[in-house]
Amino acid sequence: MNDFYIGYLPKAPEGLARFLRRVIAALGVLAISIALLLVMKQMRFANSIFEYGKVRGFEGTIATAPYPSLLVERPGMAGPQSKYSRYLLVAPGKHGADELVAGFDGKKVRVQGQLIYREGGTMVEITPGSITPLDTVPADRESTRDLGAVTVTGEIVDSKCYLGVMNPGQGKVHRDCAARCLSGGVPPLFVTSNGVDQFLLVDPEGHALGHDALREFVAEPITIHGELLQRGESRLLMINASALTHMAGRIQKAPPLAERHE
Amino acid sequence: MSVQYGAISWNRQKKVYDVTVLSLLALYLGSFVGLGAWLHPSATAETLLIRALGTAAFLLLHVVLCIGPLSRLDRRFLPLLYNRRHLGVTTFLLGLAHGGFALFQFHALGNVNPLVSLFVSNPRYGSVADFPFQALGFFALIILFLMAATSHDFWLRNLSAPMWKRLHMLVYVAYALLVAHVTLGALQSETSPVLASALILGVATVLSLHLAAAFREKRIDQARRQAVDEGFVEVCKVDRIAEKCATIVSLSGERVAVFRYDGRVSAISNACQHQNGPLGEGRIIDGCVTCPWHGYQYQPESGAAPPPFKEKVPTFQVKVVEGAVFVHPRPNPLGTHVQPAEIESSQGRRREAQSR
Ligand code: FES
Repeated sequence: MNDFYIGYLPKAPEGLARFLRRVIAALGVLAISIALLLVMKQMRFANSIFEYGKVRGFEGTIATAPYPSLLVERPGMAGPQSKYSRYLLVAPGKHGADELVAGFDGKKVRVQGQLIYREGGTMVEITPGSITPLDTVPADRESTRDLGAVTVTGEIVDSKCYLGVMNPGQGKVHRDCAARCLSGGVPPLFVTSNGVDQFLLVDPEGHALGHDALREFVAEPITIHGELLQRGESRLLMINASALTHMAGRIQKAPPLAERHE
Repeated sequence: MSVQYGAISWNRQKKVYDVTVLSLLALYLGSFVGLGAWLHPSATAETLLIRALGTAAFLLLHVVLCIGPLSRLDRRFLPLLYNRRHLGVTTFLLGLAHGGFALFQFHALGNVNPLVSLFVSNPRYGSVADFPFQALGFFALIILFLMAATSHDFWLRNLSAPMWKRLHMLVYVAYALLVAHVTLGALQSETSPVLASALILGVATVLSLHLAAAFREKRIDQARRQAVDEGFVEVCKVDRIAEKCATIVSLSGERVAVFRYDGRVSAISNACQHQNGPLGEGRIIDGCVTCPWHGYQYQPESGAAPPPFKEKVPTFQVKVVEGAVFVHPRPNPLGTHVQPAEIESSQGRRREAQSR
């Protein structure tokens, strides 16, 4: 039988070769269609930016607690808005900036770093060793307002990836990274399931949470009860990490604003 | 010269195979990353690469797993099987690139070793939806590595064939791990039902092809066993009989001529009624077995000479099972009509493809 083909023979019989060419053409069409389908059906990517490689200089007052931040004066601001923009500070990689800002609390400084931003939050990844004290007048301490108890549904994320270093910087696939970032001292952020509200998570005294306190609950749908604080333009949610529990179901879209009860 | 030619021609098939595989792969990766960057401008290059490489590895594994049953169902797919190990190695390399990028992206530059981080960052081993799916991908990659590393014939010899076969059956474990990896990973983040449906379709394809091939083999085995139980004897492969010719076999002392013609097989006694000429050395002319000695003719289905002639030879029951000819050794009375055995459809299809 001459259509018996062994792979090491130089040439397949013509009928077989034609069949194989058709199979390969079909695989090619399939490859493009599947790529198209998968690309189009992926979730939309957030509009977030990490200015990787673009180092800028910033001037402002360092606040080390609850999480390292830089208060940058807004030029000519008056009215209800805060006098300062608050930039969260982090170190390169999956690390918080606690060590980098140690000793600078309440001091006016110049710092170099790369900007990370997304709707609702701005952050600077500090270039290590770039903080230099300035002699100018530091910012006033911002006052804190208690907004009362809230129950919110959403997801705990690490602020660095969520605000722009990774895209997507939330959800199941990103979970391990979020856990690693929090463990390294990146400030934990709570994002409501509609993506509108963001709260920095702190302990019931308003201090930073333990680095690994949230590992068990990060990047999964969760409902949190806590006390909401407004400090300058940022909102802090005081929670008891040891009282968190896993939710049975998956994410449901929550109403746009946190449901409040006094 | 001829030795040299042999070497070149041997390489040519592999080259054609590999170039085809790499081109298809480049087409897929290019489409994925290109379209991704165009449709999702804020997606980062790392994310697109991780996704393109991961999906490519997973799709290629589907191809690897489907080629086996496909070529059992239709032998024309056999050439794809010939270099399947290249596909296996490619699958591993794609998976390694996917895993490497992901390990760097999600675990590097942190406060513990990335490989430790892989297992401890998500402690929810008791949960389904929140299960640490990356660990599943890691173990699948280990299996793919073992298979890729032992894919060379050197290992086939050194591990002994059954051992090697058993090792390579682990591909199904790797596949199951990866289905879980995708289900508990990407599909927990993504919301489109199309993606979940695509995975279900992929798994269903792999399963149904394996079931279809197994079912078909079982049917063939049964048909063979039944033929043997009924007293039939396997005499040769259909392929061994040239069209309009016969092969002569000896069954319990009786010489039988087994003819193949027009996609059918019939068996009659080898001895011509005229002067015992060997009918099996004759040919089918005008639809009749024609004796090589003096040209007496017999209809292959009945062993009877066409009217007005009266000669008759015994016929034999005949079956074809998956390309093998079975003949019952008990001769039928002279001139008994026997339904010719149809050569099976897959053989027919192959011949058709050949003659077209
Ligand atoms: S022996 Fe067959 S034709 Fe004479």
